[in-house]
Amino acid sequence: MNRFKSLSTTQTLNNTIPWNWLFFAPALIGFLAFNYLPTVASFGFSFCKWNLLDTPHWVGMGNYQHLISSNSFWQAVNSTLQFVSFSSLLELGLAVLLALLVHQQTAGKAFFKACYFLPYVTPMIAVSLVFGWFYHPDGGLLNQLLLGFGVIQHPVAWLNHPQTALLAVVSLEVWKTVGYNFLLILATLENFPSDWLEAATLEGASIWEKTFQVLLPNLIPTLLTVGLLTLIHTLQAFDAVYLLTQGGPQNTTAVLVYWIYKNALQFFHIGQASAMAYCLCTLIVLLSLGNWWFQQRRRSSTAGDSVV
Amino acid sequence: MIPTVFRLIFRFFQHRWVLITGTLLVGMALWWEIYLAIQPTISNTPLKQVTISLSIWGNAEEVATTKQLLQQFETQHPNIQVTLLYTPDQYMSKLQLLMATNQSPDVILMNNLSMPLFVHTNQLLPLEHELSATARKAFQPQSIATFTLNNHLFAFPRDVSVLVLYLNTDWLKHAGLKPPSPNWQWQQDAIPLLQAAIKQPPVASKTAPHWGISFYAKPALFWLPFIFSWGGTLPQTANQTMHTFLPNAPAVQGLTFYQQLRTRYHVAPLATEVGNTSMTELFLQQKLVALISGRWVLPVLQQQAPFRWQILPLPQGKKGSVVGVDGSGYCIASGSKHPQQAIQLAKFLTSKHAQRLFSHSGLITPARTDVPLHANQAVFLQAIQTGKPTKPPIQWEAWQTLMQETLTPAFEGQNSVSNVLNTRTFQTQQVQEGLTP
Repeated sequence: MNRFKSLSTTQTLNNTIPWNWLFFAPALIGFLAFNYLPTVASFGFSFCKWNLLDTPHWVGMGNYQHLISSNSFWQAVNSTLQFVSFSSLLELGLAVLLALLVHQQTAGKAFFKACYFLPYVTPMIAVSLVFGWFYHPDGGLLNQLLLGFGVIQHPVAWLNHPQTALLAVVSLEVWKTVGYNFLLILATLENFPSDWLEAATLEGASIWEKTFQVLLPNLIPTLLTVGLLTLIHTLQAFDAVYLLTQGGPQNTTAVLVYWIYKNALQFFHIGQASAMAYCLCTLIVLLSLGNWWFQQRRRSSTAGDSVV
Repeated sequence: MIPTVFRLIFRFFQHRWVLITGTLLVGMALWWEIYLAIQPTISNTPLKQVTISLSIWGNAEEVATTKQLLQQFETQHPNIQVTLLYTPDQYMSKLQLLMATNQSPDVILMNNLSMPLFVHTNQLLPLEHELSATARKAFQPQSIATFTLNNHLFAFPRDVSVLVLYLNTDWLKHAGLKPPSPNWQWQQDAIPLLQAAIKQPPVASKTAPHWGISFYAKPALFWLPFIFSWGGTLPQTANQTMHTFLPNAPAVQGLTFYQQLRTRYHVAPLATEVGNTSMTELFLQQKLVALISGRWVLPVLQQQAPFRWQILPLPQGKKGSVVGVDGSGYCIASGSKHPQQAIQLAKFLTSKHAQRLFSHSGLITPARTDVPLHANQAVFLQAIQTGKPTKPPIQWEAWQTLMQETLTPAFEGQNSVSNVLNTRTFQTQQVQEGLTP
């Protein structure tokens, strides 16, 4: 006991450091091998032409120049932006709405929580099969309903029509993901100090005033984080597109990640796919930095207000 | 020093018993060497075991037949064990990944459309020396041609694949129409027949939409016959592979006719009308009078079609009925550690016995000429004889995707074929995709 007591703090640390590294090593090796190394390697490949079978050869900025002048790339960017705009807005908007509704609820809260969160844990392949049938022109539920109510005269191939396919895929993405956002927002609402709302009630505030002037302003930090997560998630959307439309019709649902997959693993244009991946990565980093900057600015202004 | 050593050795061998023992030892050693050299032919001890791998795709029947053949092969060659690698989906992509990681299978089932990339990157062994002139005569010349690239043969052909037309004869009977003759023509015979048949569908639910003939924008092999049958060509370079598509007048005419099956004659369904339902499903559901497809659909129709059907060659265009002749065969990976055993297996799988097993149910159209044909395969043979081998570009998948993207607006009736093929964007894209020489 005395011997241990006599050890200096530095000596104790020196003795424990190798053990720390030993325990840390498996995770570190995993990250290095499967995350960081491929990330660095693909940055290198983005300057090469390579089909996996030949040796890569240097093309400099050729792949990036190709992207800039490629119609299909810009079409993919366009599809991605549309997909991200629709999905993010709906996922966030619906999640807030559902969270506010469930927060007001006094009975059956757990049931609604489970209901809204269930799609998130349902396998995408099963969901896509159901949605495929739902939108099918021949006997699909949506067509049957719309025909029954006289909204349409002929069945519509929702997933095969250039004007409806993207929205059909967005609907799957929203249905599946909204539960996750809902849970995050609801958690913030549940931890909201109840005396603020009580004070507002005593002041005679209506339910709308309480929602828009008390609850929502205090939800902004959570909304910014959830919004950023949603943006990143939708920018990386792939499985819904792959399973429902395979990028069609006429590439209207070919979002960036689907194009990366197609170029990398179907055409084996590894260089072009890596260049595309880095463009997407840059976009995500910029969005994250923008979000961080906005949060910092907001925090400093709030701190300023409180000082005043 | 050295003379002393020699003197000692000489003295040593002066003793008679040393000489006799030495001679005996040398004799025994020689005998042992000879015994070892001829041992494989006279010994009953097992030979060195070799394990090779075979990579295939295909339906359940193809896999079952392959397994049966492998069992027979292993019985005949007890020293060779075969590991079967079955990839039902995205076969070529997974194969390319295996090759990239030096895990290439020894024997590879390959189609001629995907082969050029693997040849171009030196992944396959040339096999022309393994097939003697006599052995070569046992195969359809067209099947040898499909696997010959730069004057080298890269596969032992297994089957020949061409497109034919499956016609619902019950539907025609119901509509009071006569089945056409095998020499029928698109304009004069096929279009009027299909238009008349659509008006009188046989199924109870007459409100459901019905069409005359199947339509695909991809794969390219479904619209290549329209280019060939109108006298169009796909430009080829010196090494006999096409890299690009520069529209020539007959090719544009053929593709325009294909487009008009939808937009002018209204006998083929639009993508927006059928959704993701496959053309084979529509045919089985009696929503299509005729289906253009290959040999792979034959077992499906035999098992599932609730109506009588007939196989016909594709109707004739301006220059006859010319379909692309494709096929699959067994290649040997250049990285194989046991190429001789791999060649033995590939030869066994393309033997008369093996091809008979594969073709007796009509599953494949055999590449060999000495295998009896299934009753339904006579039309396939006719189509092979009038067809021409497809010489695909090195990047077949990228090429046909680009063509699909380019042609889809025309196929959907939003533009003309000549317009979409003449756009600068299309020509530029071909260069960027590396499809030009």
